[in-house]
Amino acid sequence: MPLPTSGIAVPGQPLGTTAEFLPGTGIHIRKDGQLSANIVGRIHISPTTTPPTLSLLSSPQDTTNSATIVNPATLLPQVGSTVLCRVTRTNPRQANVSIFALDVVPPKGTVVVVDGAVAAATSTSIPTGDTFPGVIRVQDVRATEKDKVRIASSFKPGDIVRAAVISLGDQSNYYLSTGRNELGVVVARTDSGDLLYPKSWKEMICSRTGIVEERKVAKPI
Amino acid sequence: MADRRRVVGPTDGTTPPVFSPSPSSTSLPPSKRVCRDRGPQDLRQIFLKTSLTPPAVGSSFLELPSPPTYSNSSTLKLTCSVFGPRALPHSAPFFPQARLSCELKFAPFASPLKRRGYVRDHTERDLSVQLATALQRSILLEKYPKSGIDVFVTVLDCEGEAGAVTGVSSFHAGGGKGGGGWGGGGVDVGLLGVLAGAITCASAAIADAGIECLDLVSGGVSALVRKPGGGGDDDAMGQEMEDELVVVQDPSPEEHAPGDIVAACAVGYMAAREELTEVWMRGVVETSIDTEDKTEDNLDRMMDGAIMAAAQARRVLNEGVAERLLFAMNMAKHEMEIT
Amino acid sequence: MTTNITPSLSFPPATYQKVDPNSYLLRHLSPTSTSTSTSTSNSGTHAPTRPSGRSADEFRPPTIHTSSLSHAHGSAVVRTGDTAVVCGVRGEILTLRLGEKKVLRSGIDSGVGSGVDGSGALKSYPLIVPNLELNTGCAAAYHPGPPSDWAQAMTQRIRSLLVDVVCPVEVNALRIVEDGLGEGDGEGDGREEEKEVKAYWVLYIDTVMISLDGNAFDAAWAAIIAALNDTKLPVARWDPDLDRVVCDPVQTRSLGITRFAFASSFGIFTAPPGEEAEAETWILADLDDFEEGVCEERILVVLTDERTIAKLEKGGGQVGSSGVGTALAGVKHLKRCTKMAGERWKIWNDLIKGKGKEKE
Repeated sequence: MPLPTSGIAVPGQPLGTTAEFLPGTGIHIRKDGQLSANIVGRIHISPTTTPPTLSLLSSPQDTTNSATIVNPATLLPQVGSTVLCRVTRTNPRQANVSIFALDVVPPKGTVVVVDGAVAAATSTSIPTGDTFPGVIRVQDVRATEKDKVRIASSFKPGDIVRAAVISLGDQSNYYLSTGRNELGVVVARTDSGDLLYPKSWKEMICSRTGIVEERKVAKPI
Repeated sequence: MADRRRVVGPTDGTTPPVFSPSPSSTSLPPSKRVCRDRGPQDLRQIFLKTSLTPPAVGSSFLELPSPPTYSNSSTLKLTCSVFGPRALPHSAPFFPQARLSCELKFAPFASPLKRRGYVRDHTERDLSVQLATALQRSILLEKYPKSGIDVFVTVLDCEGEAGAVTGVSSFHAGGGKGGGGWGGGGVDVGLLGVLAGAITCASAAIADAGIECLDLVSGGVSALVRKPGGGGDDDAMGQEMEDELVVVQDPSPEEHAPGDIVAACAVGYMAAREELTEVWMRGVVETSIDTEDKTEDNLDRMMDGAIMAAAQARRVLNEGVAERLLFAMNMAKHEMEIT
Repeated sequence: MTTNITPSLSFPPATYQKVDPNSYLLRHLSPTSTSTSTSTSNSGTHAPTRPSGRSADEFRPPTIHTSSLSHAHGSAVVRTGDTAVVCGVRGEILTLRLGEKKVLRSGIDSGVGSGVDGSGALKSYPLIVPNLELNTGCAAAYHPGPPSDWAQAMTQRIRSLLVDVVCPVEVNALRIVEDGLGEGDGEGDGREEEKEVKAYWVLYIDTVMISLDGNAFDAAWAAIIAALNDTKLPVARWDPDLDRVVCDPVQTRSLGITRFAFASSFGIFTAPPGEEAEAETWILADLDDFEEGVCEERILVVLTDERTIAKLEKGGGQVGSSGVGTALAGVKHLKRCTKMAGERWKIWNDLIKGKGKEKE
């Protein structure tokens, strides 16, 4: 099929060979060295590399350098990335969470485009289409003094936690960790519904009543 | 079967309306009552539009107009919505790649005569499995580990009974001449047409969702139709003349007398890779088992016809999935020109 | 990114919607209440807008397309925003058994459970069979499978409105009488004759949700009314030689719907305690999917004309905790909702009447 003049490729469309281009996003390589499209996207040739990189962008704007998210709804938690999740259940060995947003860090020199609109140049948080179940085990809550950790002093159901995905996990849960300073509880409320503000890495305080509650708190930037 | 969760009709059951023969239909000789006005390779124009169901990740709507005959018009209307990749239920075992599940359902008002129930019957289950087979190999499932991709197709309107009435779609009194003794009713091409349309529609929805695929699968149907050779007349010696078997693409149950359709075949075809993902054939067709024999037999001709129909459908599919991005690009260019 | 005053890290709006849906909606409806606001376009006193851009009183404009299905006697496709539903009406014949045949005197069926106008037959057989199918993949939560309790409850609501309360279909439109066309009385002769009812038409009203972005009931109900209005049943007669009902292949007859009822659904959103000095409430018309997850209190008004109520329902919500006062809606909210429903009734009515005129 010849390349259409409108510059939009559809899945399966041959776009060149590995001799002519480096494959970028949305491209796969067939056995004979042919580059083919994976998605419906705008053909974009970036001359910054030799040979030039051929990518498919799903954004309609003509930005010169952009990493695109194909569709936020098809994102999955990736090992090594950070996610936002809500704690659903706790027991002494682990905290069950449901992941609802992913942090996406674009490659250097590119911006993230979500649904056709340019988002932040640095990492940005994108909600997933559906929630994914995850678990933070007691040995993954902190990087140091792991044996002294108590789940009840770290998380409570309803808290919003920023965590890192350490593994795809088992059939039902992703395995997450909060073992870095910037990971942990970001939003929490008391039983009466008041917001809690971070006081230290292990305490949060309510401004209205002055009650202090224990959590594994994420360091505010 | 009483469906306790839904409102059911009278316990004695109801019958579809029976019509007294219309004066216009009885005046024509039987051979003229149904005929195909278009050529054997003329396909009907497919209408395909994506993103009509915004709550779904990807969606599409396909419509196939009625053939230009004077009988009651009926069209094929399908809507498809795709969800995923999303988390599998807890009970599902671990998969290093995505799990594709397809569900096809006829709406109760889709078939001409018999109203379908809400509980899935064997025809719908069969079509769902065929659809999954057709789409399975085209999606890059390894990119989405431990997740599920769900494809839901709803048939709002279809031609022919499409399997609603068990057995044959209707009776043809003439019987089959040279039909190998099977005689009687022919092949339900309406059902195959639904599968082909569902394949095309589901591919459009998957592409609309942005799920990465090797190629798009399009569906095509062809049939081996008995063209009355000498009108069924015997020749001078009292022997019957053999009817010619013609391959027609995009057959419609309204254009052929049911007994004339000897065999039909629906395929799922990836046009860019030139690979077939699904072949479903019904009817009786002879083929040579001698591998040395390279002459084209009826089976080859019929499958080639279906592949050509699928390749034509692929053009509509390409336009349909690119339309939304093209529109957005034009809008963005227009905005930039204004500012 | 965080300040000392507000602890909320600056999430992008789409993520904030998932983190705290209540606050997200509140900040759209009253942007001047808190120091940080995600909706920077609103400033000063402004009509409250919802995340979708609509004002609190604004319904989504509807569209209706009729007669699009080939095998249904009547059909309608209704779209309100991203909610779309298809309704198909098919008639089938219920032939009465020998012991059951009714005798028709002056337009009233004799027999079990006769109502004032013979509506007993509608209920006892039943002759109207509505169903609402949501498990079509219309939204993420609706997988194929048996209908949930909520879907079954909605179907029963629709059935009771169709058969008990509004009754848009008269039973005399469904009768098949010996040597008659089904009109029981007043067809010009005025004779008080006894005719035998041999069969009835049974209307199967199947509503299939194609796309769901909140407020399934209003759209489904409007689709049913539009489809019934569009329905043309074949003219049927009892053939004594064949001893069965036979239909004319060409002639059709409409159901003759005269009563048009339309539904309007509302939600009441109450500001979460602690963020507001007093519990401020907003009435939101025609909730979309996000708002349905946030608003606990709902009001449903079904009108048969701009001022006549066929059904009024209110439920959900919580009595406020101490110090905040009751947060439930009161009579003044119901009156406002009824008034808005009246305006909405007019819009639906004009749309359906417009459809009828197009065909003439």
